[in-house]
Amino acid sequence: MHAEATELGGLAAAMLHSWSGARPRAGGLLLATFRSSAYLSDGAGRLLWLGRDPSVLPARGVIVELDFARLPHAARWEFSDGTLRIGTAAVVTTHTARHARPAAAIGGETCPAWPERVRDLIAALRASHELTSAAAGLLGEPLAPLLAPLKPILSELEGALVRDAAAREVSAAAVSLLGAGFGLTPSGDDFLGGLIGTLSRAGRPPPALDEVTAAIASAAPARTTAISATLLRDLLAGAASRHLARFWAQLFSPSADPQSLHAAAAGLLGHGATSGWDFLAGVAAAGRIFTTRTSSTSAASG
Amino acid sequence: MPTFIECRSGSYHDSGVLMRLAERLQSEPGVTRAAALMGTPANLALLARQGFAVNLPAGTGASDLVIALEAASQAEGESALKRVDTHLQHRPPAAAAGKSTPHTLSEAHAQLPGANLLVLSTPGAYAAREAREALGRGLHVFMFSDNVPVEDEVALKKLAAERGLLLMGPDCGTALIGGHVLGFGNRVRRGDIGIVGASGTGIQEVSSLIDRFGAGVLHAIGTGGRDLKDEVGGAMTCFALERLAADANARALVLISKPPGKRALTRLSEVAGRLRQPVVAYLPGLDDQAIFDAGLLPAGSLEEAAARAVQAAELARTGLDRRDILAKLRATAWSWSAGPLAAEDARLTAELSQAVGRLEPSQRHVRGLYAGGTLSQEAARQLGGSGHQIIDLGDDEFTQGRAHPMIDPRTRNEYLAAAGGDPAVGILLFDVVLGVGSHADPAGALLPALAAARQAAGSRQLVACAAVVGTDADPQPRAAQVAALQAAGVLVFPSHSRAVRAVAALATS
Repeated sequence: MHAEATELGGLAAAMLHSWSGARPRAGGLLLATFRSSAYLSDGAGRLLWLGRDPSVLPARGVIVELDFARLPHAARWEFSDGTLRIGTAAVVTTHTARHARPAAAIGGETCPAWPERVRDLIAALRASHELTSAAAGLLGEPLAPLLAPLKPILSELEGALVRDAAAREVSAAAVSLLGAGFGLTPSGDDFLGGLIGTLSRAGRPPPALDEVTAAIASAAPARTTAISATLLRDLLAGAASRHLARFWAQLFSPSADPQSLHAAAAGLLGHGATSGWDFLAGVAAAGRIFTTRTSSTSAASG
Repeated sequence: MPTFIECRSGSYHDSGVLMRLAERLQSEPGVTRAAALMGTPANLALLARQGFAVNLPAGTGASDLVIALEAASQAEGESALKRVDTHLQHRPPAAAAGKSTPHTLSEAHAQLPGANLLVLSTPGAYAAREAREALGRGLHVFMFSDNVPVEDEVALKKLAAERGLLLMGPDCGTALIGGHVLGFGNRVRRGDIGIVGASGTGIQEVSSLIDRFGAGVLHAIGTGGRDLKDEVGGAMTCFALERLAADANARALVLISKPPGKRALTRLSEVAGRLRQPVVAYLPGLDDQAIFDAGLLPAGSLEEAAARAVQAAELARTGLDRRDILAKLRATAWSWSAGPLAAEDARLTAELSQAVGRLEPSQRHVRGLYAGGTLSQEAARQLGGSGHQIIDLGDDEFTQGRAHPMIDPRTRNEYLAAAGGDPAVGILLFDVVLGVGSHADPAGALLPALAAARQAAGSRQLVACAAVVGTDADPQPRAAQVAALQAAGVLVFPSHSRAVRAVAALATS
């Protein structure tokens, strides 16, 4: 297979540039393949995502049209002179790929009613989408028996953030969710991504948030899958994938309409069997925390 | 009960796959509980709390897959573990795989990333935007939507051609792509004849006849009714002909459309001259010489178009080139009395003549009640005026608030029953369109209305003539539909062209 990459995420472009310059050759292992994407590992803890769908594009992503099912498991890959060779199965050239523009930062006034928007959005989505079991548990339904022990941890984390508990207490609860649940990006990771990512963008973040974020990023490599740890650390560092950036932009925009938000969220739910829902569960928790903290602050100042 | 743990290093699967694996393991004989998780510390702790003895090999890590199960016996547990690979390879269809119903093109494409074609059926006001996005994603578009402004159609077709993609429509009712029906269409055998058509039922009739003549269809590409008007300039017709011609399996092509505009015909002529394959053209209203001058072989009816295409493909198989095939076919006049349908046609024409002879002198008119637009036009060309009425009940004015008569027979049934009360009507002429998308039993749905018409006619006879468009491979097998109509006294002609010809010969004599 020969294919031309069409677009590079910001971190992917930087990685490929570094391999083309100071370290002219790089290589590693094909870590995982899925129907429409694959992950490459460079053997030094760095990942590259290849995928077809430009609406996703993670920061470490390369958009390329490949038949991913034909990539051999655990194939060796190498990159040189702008060309990626995956075993003998695929050759991907990157010379003409455009660099993705970074998502616009959420700035200025955010819509103060975003928690209500999240609540309405989830109610509408639940009416039309199937809720998978783990995600249903994170959204208030009974958790799957295996994951039931997570329930008190979720409550503890939410409570600690509401009452502005010490960073160590919040971090302990957050870190214990890392790696918990089904799938390549376990539910706990996706939940934390939605929760922390939303609170950090919503304004008036809990005081412990920076320390908690650092604790999650630090603990992730040992506590969850390599792919999930990378994606989560990128997200917490502000490098959200394109569909997440679009969702947050719609959520916080003062002028967004429900249909646009619904469309952005629907795109999110298309990724992974449960990741989108788990992420939205984290956003919903962030909404509850934001609302309660805001009303407590108003009551205290009144 | 014994518990089992198996670890697979570096085995990455998404959560949907792992949840399905757990479900399938749990349905194995004797298995009481099963889980499939990545081996993160949190998940191993959860498994331990569930009573699984998590004694994993040294080096097991968060990126390894851990499968845990509990079974009634050692043998059943071991047997279930042996089935892990089988279960992992199992891929249910997307709809059953826990996927949500897509609400946006982006979401649908994410669920079906390998898809290369969009079927678009939104209201016309929104269709252009969605089509543009689809083309941007590299998808061909089948645009069922109508009421799309012509300027949008022009822009979309330009964009599609630039990207090497098909934009079928707007208002495209039928296409056959790689043996798959899009919109309304019939199950026909695959073969070496490509069809490009501005008309849905025209494509259906021609493709069904090609099948009945023993040949097959490579692809049938709809273009939308306006494509050969000068405003659009034949953009998609020309592109589709070129795409079909580029297929090594294509031996002959058929074009079905209303007459092209002057500029569109010039462009069509340029394209036809470049093709390897001969193009048979059913362009009613355009004279034969003009069609031949454009490098196309004229066909005077839908049946002739199908038959000529089959002949052209047969000649191409002998090694003749396009020009020789066109010249040879042009030199041989099409004959209604030849071919596989002629004998049945002759018998039915004789029966029709006898039946018409029993009509009262006042019953001089034909009432044609159609579901198919192109079929009604084929009838109107021969039966227009002189008191005969040919009504296309699929036209927009009859489908406001109701489905197309190919799906919902009510409107046509009302007209059919009412026709019996008109003392001037002697012959009822109608089409029965079968295939994917059509009513499950169109003949059965129509016959009560025919009985009502006969009742309304009282002592007057009514002659019912029909053409059944479709094949025996359709969801409503043609033979059974024909038999039901015949049992009700309907003269079912072997093609629509022949039904019209026979009726017109008597009605205008």
